[in-house]
Amino acid sequence: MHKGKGMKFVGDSRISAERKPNIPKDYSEYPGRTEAFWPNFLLKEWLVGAVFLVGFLSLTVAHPSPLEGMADPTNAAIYHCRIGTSCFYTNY
Amino acid sequence: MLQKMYDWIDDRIDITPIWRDIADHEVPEHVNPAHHFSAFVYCFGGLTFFVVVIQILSGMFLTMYYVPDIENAWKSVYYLQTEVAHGQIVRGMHHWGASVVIVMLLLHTLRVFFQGAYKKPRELNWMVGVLIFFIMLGLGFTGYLLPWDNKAYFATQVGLEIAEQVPFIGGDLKTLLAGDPNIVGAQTLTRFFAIHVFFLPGALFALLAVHFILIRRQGISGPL
Repeated sequence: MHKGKGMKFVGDSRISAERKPNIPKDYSEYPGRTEAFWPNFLLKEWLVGAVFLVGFLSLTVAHPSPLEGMADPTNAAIYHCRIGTSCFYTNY
Repeated sequence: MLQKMYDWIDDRIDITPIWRDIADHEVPEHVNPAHHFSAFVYCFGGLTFFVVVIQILSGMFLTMYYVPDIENAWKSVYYLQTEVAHGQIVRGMHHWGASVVIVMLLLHTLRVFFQGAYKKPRELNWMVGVLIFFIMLGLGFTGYLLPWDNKAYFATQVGLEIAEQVPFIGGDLKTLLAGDPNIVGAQTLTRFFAIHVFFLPGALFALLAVHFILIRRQGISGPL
């Protein structure tokens, strides 16, 4: 990347006048510390999954899913709102 | 014994390359939270799939008790919720999973968006992901009616009226979903059940397969 003296900008902005494609390089161009997917990485992934599952089950145990009374089309007492009617904004 | 069985199958249909493709690939450093903690954002896609698996499994067990007709739907859910062993937990997992999967899906989408991982050559996989998002919304909408409680009933009525607002095909779309231009009733419930349990999951599995095959073909996008 060109820095310092001789840099060209678009107008009076800080955007470089030099245009280049904004496509990230493939990771094969960054040889680094890779890890075998099977089984090393997958097992670590499942550790995260186990922590997630504990949190998720805590949620389900702490908050049982709600079930209201059986559907009754004639009982629109609090659910009488239709799109385009003023009650859409004064529900409950 | 097991080795012999495996060899017998492998001799005939050459299954080794299929699982070697999954087993042999290396996970690059920049997506591994063991090297860079910030790489935990790469977990969101996998966790979305994990919640989908939870949804499939809990849904399969819910259908053991659920009855998709307007006389018994609510009663079967009530029975499941109050009488069946662990029924409350299984229904709770399905209920909360439906919300959590949307949250995880949006987090995954934000990760892909802000890292620019959708750019060439991965545009197609972004489009498949957007389709999966729509399928998920459809599953949420159709699943919401199934307990057949008052909230579900009137929420669906509102949802169907939103569908009716679609230009040109809105009226037909509503009739297709509800089974009648005006009534939300027995037809609506069975149609929503069929859509929720057969049509949309079928589409979801196909799209997920494409999503994962494309990831394996293209690899994970490079570091920022």
